Amino acid sequence: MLFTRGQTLLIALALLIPESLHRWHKSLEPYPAVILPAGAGRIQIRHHRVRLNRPVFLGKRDGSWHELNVVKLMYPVGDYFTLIAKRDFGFPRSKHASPEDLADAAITKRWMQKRLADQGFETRKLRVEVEELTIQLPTGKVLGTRAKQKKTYVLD
Amino acid sequence: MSWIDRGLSWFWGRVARTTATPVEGLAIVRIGLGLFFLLMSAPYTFWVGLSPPTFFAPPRLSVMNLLSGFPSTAVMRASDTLSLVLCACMMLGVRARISTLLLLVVGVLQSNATMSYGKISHDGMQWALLGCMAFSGWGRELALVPDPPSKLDQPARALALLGVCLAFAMSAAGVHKASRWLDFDLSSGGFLAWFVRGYFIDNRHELLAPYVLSIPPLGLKLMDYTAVVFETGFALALLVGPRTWRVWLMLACVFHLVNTLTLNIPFLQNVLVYLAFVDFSALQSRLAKWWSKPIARGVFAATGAALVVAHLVLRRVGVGRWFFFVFDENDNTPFILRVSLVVWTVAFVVVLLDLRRRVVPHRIVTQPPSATDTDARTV
Repeated sequence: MLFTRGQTLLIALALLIPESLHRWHKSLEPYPAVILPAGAGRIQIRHHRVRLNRPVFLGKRDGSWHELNVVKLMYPVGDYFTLIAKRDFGFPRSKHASPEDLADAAITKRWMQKRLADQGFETRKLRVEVEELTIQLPTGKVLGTRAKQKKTYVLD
Repeated sequence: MSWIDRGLSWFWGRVARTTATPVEGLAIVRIGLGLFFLLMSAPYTFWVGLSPPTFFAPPRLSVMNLLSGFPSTAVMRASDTLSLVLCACMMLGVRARISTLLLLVVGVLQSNATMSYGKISHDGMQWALLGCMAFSGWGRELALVPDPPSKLDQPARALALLGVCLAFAMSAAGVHKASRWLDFDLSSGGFLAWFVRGYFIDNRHELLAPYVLSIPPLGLKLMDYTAVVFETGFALALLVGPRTWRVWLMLACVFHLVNTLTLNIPFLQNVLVYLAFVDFSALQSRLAKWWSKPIARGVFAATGAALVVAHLVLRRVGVGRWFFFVFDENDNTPFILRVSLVVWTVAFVVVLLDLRRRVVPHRIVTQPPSATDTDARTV
């Protein structure tokens, strides 16, 4: 036999425990673990249309909001920007944040201000909206957008 | 012998029969993996040190929780350099077992750092490959400093464990999909959900992506079912036998090829996991003749060193990236996708040829020499 009873049990636990934790609650997924992306989400098609939430990052230029290039804004942080934005960029949510947290937030704000300036936007504010797209099938035409959430971050 | 032992004996016997691959050929997998890392997935993590502190959000169960923030750029640069050198050592066969294990440790720590932004990218199979192959004996052939014979080298166990990891991970993903995608409801779509998110949020518009929405609802539903059957079927294929397993590995290449074409998701990190089950011993024995010449070993060593130096120099001057030295997905997605198409196509053909050899193991020539042959000999 290739592996003894005890070794087989260890292998089974090493595979099953992380997978179970991941399925139970995503935030409990350990790293590293032998898990492949399942991506079991679904989308509903109604009357040849689908609806989709899209995060939009906006900067202010000449007094009005314009969509900015989020990849450039967050470079070189890769494709994690949606999750980072969901956590309010890690800015303290409590009014009683520690001085260390406030100092860290100030560093992040300066980092973002520089990137806004690089794209020609005002550096005082950044807005993140979640807009709902209505997409027609099979043409892929965007029939409409509706702002669902709007958050403005003051960076100075 | 208890029924548990009988069951385990049956299970591991089936898995060993399915995954058995001559150890000599694993040297080719080692070289292939080293080249893959150095050319298409080079350690490139220094940017972690440039991230603002409030972005730090490691998974709850990760060693990064021992730190209070991202490691510094200097630490990440040093780890990149160490990883590049270890990739080259593994590829060249410089004490391949220890090089592979060190690469595994450094690589996992680096990946822990890159996954401290609130998202885990599932690259576990890559680390499982390194962990298993370190004990496969892949550092014995075509190696500049071969591993000495050791009881630690157990290729059958290494490949069986890798096979179990792959079958488990694929089937677990398939079962999860099955619980939500097998609904016989044409008004919902799993593949479609992947597609619209990629197309309308992440701007994945390359290759065949613009044509995906023309697929009728029934076709999209069939794609959901196909994915579920393919992924869950991995566990069964492992137990059925070597040929079925290779058929599934071939289907895996097709699966990734289709994903690259339609979803623009190449997931190249799995390619060497599949190729680890291919018998490369014929290629190894051909290269072994060439290997006996000192000049050949010299060229091989120089190639490994040149790849590492090229990375270090290009990073020093500020243009170094992880894909073919200077590319990354922020700017060069079309190029990366086209190369990925080639890689998955080649992998498919390689597994197909291996399967063909297993179906028709010997080509026996029974015909007597023809008259033309006789004439030719006479002349």
